[in-house]
Amino acid sequence: MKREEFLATLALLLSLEGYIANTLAPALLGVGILLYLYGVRSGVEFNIKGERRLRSHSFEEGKPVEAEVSLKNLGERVRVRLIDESPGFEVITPKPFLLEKGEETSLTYILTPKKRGRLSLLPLRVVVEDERGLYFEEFSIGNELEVNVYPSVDWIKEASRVDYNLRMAEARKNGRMGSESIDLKDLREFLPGDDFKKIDWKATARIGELIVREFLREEDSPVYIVLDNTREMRKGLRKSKVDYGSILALQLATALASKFRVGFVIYDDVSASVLQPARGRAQVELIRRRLQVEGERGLMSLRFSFEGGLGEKAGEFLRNVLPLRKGRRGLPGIYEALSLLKEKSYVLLITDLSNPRDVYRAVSMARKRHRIMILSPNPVLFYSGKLDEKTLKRLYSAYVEREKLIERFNALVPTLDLGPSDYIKELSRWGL
Amino acid sequence: MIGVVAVVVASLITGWRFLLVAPVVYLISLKNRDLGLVFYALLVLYLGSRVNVPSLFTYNGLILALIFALSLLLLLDDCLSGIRFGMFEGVVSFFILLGLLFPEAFLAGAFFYLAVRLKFDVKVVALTLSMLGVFVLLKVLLPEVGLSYGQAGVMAGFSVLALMLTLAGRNVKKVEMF
Repeated sequence: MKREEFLATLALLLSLEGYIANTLAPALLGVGILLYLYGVRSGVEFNIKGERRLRSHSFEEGKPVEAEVSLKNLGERVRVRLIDESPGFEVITPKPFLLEKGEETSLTYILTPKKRGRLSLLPLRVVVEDERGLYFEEFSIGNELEVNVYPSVDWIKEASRVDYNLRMAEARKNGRMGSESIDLKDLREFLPGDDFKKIDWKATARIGELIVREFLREEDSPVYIVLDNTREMRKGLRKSKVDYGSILALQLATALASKFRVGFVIYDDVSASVLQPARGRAQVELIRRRLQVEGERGLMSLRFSFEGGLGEKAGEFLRNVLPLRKGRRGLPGIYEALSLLKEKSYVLLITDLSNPRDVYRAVSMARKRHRIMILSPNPVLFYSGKLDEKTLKRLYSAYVEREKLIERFNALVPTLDLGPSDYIKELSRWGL
Repeated sequence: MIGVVAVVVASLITGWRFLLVAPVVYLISLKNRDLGLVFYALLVLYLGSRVNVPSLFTYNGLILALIFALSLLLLLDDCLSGIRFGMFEGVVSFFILLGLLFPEAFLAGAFFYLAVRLKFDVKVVALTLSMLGVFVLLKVLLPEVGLSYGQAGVMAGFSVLALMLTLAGRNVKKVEMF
């Protein structure tokens, strides 16, 4: 209901009350209210002129930019509110303020681009209300502008880190696992062919000859293949991800067992089991026997959100009432799996990242000790159900969410996104 | 603020102590204008039933009805405009306070304030004079019709006329409640 209509209705009710109650005061007030409304409406005059100027035309994602607005009130006294609904921007405008007749004012408001690329900056909407708040009018200030929003420095740094991890996953300087670790073995004289980056300048200055640092080779570090056998991995209509993961694990074990000590860990929602590392065909056979895992017929959830399903208060309540085993939150299987790795190792974690929070936490802790690479079968690519418009939309949004997830994990450890036919191709990328 | 002053003075002039509840409505409207309007509506409907003015053809009746109506109109203006007190309001307040001695000063101050604050044009003046004219006719020509019902009926008729004037006026966008 509009305010004016409310007051008009009240005035008529007062007239009625006067008639029924046989008293004239309310009826007189009713007439007075209507004449008052007429007077206010006649006196309303909205006329605002203004312009908008941007303090900077260079936009950076997440960096606020000030926009200066100058307004002149050519009508009656009004209350002014600024609204900027440009998509992709977070806007902080000043509180509504009064502008007297003939008054000119200048103020600023803040625009913060929330995403990169080419964005549209819409004209500023200026909503003016009469001082009594009964009537209003809208004006448009400024023109629509197309602006370029560049990535922020922080985003570029993270992208570099992601790129580094990707390159590290694809090809290292020596292209193999078992290259040098950061553990110093010895100092020796510089020999032709040595890398200049390994020169130890302090020792060189002390001794007076070029001295290089020699590092321990990691040929003795074991390689653990860690397979996710949680419920979500087992789901699938024709081929489950764990089937794929099993084949991939066996291929990796076969390729690596001749040169490295290969261990195997398999975990599910609650527990994990380990096969200690060893070399040779016998070890591969032992791994093959451990890979007697079965898929489950069922639809995948296709959810990759980091956010939990419960609210904070509900989660806190459940944590207090139903504490999980070993005091950990979330699914304990992955934590147990990584805690079973006693010595410093290379870890190839095969998981679909369907529990991203737990995987992220577990990997963040484990990478302090081990070198980890995640091989992740993409559930969207494994979907084999019926395709209709609704499913396609769901798959698309899941794919987009998954891309962000992979990017986030790549900032942590090298993460490869795999499809159902990615076996030999990935192995050859690592130079094995 | 002028409305609050007017209502308090009106309460003292008329002896209607229940008018002293009105400042609470003003305070509510400062927090939330729409809530203030709702409470204003409840208040005036209640007060209307408590105030007994059977005829405008008596001097006392006319003064009391005008004091009642004008003080509550000023309160409505305050509820809608918020806090407003300057030199002009100060001068008007003086006349309103003088109403404690001379009720006519109250009326003069209130009329003057509303006339300056609102843009009354020829139509409003014509409407008001028409209403006065009808009342004069009622009293002179048809004394038996000039009873309470008749007077209230005449005012209701003019209310409808005033409403039509308002609606037929300029086309402006209206603010929604809540």
